[in-house]
Amino acid sequence: MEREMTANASQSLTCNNGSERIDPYGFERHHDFESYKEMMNEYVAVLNRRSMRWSKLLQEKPHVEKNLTGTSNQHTTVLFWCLLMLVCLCDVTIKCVLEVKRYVRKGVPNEHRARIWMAASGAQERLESNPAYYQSLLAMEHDAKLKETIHIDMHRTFPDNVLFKSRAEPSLQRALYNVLLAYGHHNKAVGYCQGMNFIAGYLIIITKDEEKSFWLMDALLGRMLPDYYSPAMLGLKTDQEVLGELVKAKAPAVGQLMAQYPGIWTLVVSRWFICLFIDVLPIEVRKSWGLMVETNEEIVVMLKHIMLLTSCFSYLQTVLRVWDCIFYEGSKVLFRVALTLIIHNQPEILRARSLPDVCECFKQITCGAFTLDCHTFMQKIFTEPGSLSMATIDKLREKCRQRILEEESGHP
Amino acid sequence: MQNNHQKEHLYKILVIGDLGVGKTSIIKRYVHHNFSPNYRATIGVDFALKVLNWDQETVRLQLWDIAGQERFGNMTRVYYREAMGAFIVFDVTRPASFEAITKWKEDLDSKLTLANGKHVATVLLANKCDQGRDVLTNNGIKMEQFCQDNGFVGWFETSAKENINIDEAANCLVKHIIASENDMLQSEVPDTITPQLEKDKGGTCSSCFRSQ
Repeated sequence: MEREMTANASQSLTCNNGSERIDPYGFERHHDFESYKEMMNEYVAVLNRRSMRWSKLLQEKPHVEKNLTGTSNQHTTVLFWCLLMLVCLCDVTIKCVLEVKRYVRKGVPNEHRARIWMAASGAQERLESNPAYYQSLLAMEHDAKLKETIHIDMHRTFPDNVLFKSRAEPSLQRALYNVLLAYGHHNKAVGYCQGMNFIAGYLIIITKDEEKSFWLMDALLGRMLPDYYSPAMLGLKTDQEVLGELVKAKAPAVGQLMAQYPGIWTLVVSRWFICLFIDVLPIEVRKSWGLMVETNEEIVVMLKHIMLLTSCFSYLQTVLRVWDCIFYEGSKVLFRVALTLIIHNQPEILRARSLPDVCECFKQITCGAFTLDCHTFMQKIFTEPGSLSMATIDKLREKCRQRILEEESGHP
Repeated sequence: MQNNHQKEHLYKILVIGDLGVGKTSIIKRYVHHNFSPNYRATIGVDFALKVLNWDQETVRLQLWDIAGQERFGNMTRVYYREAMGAFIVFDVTRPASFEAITKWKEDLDSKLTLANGKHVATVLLANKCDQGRDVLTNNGIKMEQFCQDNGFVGWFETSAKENINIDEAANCLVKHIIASENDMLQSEVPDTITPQLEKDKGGTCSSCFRSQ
């Protein structure tokens, strides 16, 4: 599990500290944590190295928030700052720089994650230009129905996480409630949609800051994602159809299978899109698992055991890496993740003989070793689905949206 | 869908109602015999399978757990197709969830009718009865009337947490589903007694109306 990466906290990264029952994000660990600890120590060393590189870069340039979406460096610091200079001189956004994209795809260290997300999404800029806005949303009179709906989901958001328990001190439930309530009044067309609770909760865990979480919600829901959460959910329906089209093209046999069951895409992937893979994809585990599985039978047994254990964890790590890329590259990444899961697991999916089989299979494919190993998984999402241009996505979205609108007007 | 000349039946059952009334908990209790206070909000749709032995025949139930928030409704409409029965659930501690019941029932009936033109068998569940009976004590005596007026074949006070009446409610629903299936299959045969659900709701399943 990725941890706070400050130098002082690096001790806890070795997983040898005493308070092991709860992970740094507040999620409860399985009591049999010993073997998992051992596995993690090696990966944690990698994280530490990555973290130190990022810290060094960020220290060398003090005012970086707005410009920098930095890097772990396989390249030198010099190269990085050349890139940054180029960015500044040409007055283009960092998003244009392919190198930076590549670095982000390798994962942003945890201690820099909040500021990188804030910078890359434009949330930081909005926060700074609207300093009292969030507080004013909290201070205004609130819609009673909205309050009740949000309230109902309070104890149903990360219920296993001690920080989100109502009796926790401090309880993140209050922050969660505030962010959702403020967002519901900020974006009245959306209000509150289930799923937003997981997104807001997750942002609060990462940023540890209500206001930043609010502006990141605004960036995600207002600008980066299609219309997933408004009452008509047209963007969500569209993207489910788009995924169906992409699967037809890239995995025709799966496309054929799915065609037998009308509406099945909603059943199997609506959660993937609405929750941006929170509570769907698992945490990360060391890259070397695959090798070990081939060399030592005992370890295979242990790994199986650990894989069971990890179901008790919070599904944070792989999701974090996916989110790094969403914030930098946009909603297209969601299709890459979905397609990778489907293409990679094609043989299993094709064995399904009924609707329940298919549904069960789509649950299984989000949690095996393939998704646990987030390094390899993140490489795969940029290779396995093949080329996926934004132009293709735009065209498909337009086509599917038209089709849905026609169907809906035909069946009022 | 199997017909009753074979020894196996497959019935699709919808579980609907406002958000947070306990639909997922009821299904988990019924299918997996357990309860957790830590269920997550259901996003979209989920479903579970339950197998029953019913008069030497096998009944397979496909329970569809439909997200309670209204906006998911137009997305989940496709799952109403071919359902044979439904539970509509409210939370006895939240009057608003009871007031939404008629809306859920009308919505269900508008989306779904059986081949014989009748509505699917629907049982009303007053869930979380371990936590209080505010809604019921205020409406108590009128519940049977409410069911008759709104076309429910029965109602139960349930608690997924304490395992109260979940099996009973399911049995009641299955009984009515089988009856309506027989009704459809046999309505053409003149010398067969056909259950008259619409006219005789109270009598066909007295247990449905027993408050426990």
